[in-house]
Amino acid sequence: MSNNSSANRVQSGMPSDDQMDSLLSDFFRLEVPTELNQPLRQNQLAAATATTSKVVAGRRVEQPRSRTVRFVAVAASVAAMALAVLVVISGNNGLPLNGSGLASGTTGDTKSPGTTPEIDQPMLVSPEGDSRTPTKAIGPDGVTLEETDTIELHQQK
Amino acid sequence: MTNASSEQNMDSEPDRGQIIEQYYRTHSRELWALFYAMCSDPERAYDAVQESFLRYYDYKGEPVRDLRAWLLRVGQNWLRDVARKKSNSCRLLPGLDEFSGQRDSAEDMLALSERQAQVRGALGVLNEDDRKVLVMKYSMDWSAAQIATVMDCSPAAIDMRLSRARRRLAEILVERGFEYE
Repeated sequence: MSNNSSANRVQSGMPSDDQMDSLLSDFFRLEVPTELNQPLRQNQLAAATATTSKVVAGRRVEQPRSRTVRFVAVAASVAAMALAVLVVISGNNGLPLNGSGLASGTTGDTKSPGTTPEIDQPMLVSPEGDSRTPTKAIGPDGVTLEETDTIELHQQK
Repeated sequence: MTNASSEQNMDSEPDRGQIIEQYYRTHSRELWALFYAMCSDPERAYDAVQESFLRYYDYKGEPVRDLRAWLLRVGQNWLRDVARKKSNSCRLLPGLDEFSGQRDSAEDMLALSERQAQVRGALGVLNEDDRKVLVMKYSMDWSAAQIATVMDCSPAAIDMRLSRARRRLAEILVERGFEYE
């Protein structure tokens, strides 16, 4: 009976039991990881634990900071904000600032060095210059010495 | 049954690492076989074994009464999580490192690798119980009686299931054009 079934298998291209047996034995001989035969050492476990904890720590979005560092960061940002508010307020009111280098009467507007000056608009320059003593008029029409520098002379056509 | 008493005392033993190592030596292969029967992936099954032992190493909860069942449950859950994530990481041809030195040419190595993949794929088509029986029989060289204790049935039933699983596997391989040497 079994011989008949074996013959039928061979005719239909089916492998015999022995063939399947050796096939599966060979297959699992290569399939089983060789690491399973090695002992599990404590240092491997410790290393694995360390790796896992690193991975878990890496999943955190942000590492917790110490309280001191956070306090300093908050204080610095508050101080910067306060300074910025002070500069804006003093600029709007035209108040002189001691030691700031801004003369009284100036708006305190500053331009960043990278921006190009607007040529079409007249520059607000005091005819007195940096000196606080006003110059006297040199002509009957009241033109001062500083103002004569801006007069352009053209030939009459 | 003798394992049960030793497992009960495992958490109270002072050198836990040594006991875990001893347990790993005796049970890792069986756990691998059971995990392999679930996922049909040798590396993933090995990772499941490592993961389950690692989690037991870090475990600080109530004493574990049945360590084997505990490890199995942890490994199963891990495999389920991995399957859910469907991680399709790019991998090299499986097992080529192990083939080196055994075969002469790269062509032989590739052919062997393809054969492994074909048999692995056919095993994946089988139902889990059939696959489990085949894995225990051929990866651990267990007798029908030993498998019967794990599968909770009689040795005669295991023999029958083994024969049926082999035949079914052979049919799948023939359908897929597998060439026997």
